[in-house]
Amino acid sequence: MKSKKQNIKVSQPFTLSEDWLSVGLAFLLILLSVLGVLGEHGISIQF
Amino acid sequence: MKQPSLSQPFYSSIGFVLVIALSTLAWQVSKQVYNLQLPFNIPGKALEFPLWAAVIGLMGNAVLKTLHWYEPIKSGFRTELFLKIGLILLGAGISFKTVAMAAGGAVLQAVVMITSVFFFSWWLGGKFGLEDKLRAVMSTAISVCGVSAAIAAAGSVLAKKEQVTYVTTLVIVTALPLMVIAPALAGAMNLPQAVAGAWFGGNVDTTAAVVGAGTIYGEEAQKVASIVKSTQNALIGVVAFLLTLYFATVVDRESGERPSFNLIWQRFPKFVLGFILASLLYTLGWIDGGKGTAIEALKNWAFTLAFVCMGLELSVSELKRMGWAPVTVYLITTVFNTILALGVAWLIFGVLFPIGF
Repeated sequence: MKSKKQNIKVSQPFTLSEDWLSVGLAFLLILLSVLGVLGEHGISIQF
Repeated sequence: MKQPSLSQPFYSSIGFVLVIALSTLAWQVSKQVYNLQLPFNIPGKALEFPLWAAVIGLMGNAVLKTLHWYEPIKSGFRTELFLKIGLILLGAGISFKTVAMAAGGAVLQAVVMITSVFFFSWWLGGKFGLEDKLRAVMSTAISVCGVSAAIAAAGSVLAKKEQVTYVTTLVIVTALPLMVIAPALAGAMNLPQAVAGAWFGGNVDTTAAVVGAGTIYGEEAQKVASIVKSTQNALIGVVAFLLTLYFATVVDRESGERPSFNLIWQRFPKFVLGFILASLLYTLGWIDGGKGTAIEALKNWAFTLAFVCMGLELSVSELKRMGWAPVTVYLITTVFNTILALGVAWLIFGVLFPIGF
């Protein structure tokens, strides 16, 4: 018989690697640009 | 001094805000200088934003260390993250046909360069009596992709933290001058944009400096340099796998560590997938990261943040800790890498697979 302790699942904290984070942030920025939030008619980001 | 964990996000945010402020300053300086004639007849427009960003980052580095503010906020300096975001955004302005064409030559160049430079550095390190783990980390860093390769190799061979820090410092110390010298040499040799870009991708060690050198030389050079370096980045999983295998079966037999093919996927830089997807979306006409667009501006901002961080993260004091033998090995290998990469880039991108934009 499994003890109560054995049945408790230890929840792993959610972690996102830097690589996937960069992909997520880059496509978020692309989406905001496509929607016009960033750019000429939105928040100015001229370079 | 270690800060209480609850305060860490706060200190990181301060570091991040500082990076944004310094990047804005770098952008302003590069704009102001653009139309000026500088001493020694240097035209202002020859000094592009990567140079100003790195120099301003170095100045920020010196000030922060003098005031003892560096350690608490350094977690906000995220060179690799900003660089990867910039590279994905760069993909949004390159047609998939160009990526595919350049990738063919880039894979060939990467295999030739990684193999030749790794074994040259490994052999030379042995002649200078360097420890195997340091040789492995250094050889991977110099032959593949600088800082991230050093970290991946260190995980594979279980290297000491100070060995990684040391190699990382060497990478940045040599990459910063190369970022400026390589485009100047390419200009003196009148290299075509694609050949120059492939050369930077093959010889400059860290991806940030590769992009910087490409940006200084020209738009097409920046694209080819980024594709070539990203291809080398993509091979880090294979190198990490082979290193783990070698150290587990030959050097550290008692460690019991065995590599799996899963390691190749773990080490694969996923931002490359983002770059390819962005390029596909651009080719389909769904997004536009071409000249004068918001995505292009965001790409330049991301790169500027990365260049500022590169200057901020430099730590020359690390070099004193391990003596001059590793420095000598690194510098000789860099010269070998530079000469070989020039020949290979010219052969592949000038003769075998010339790219037209």
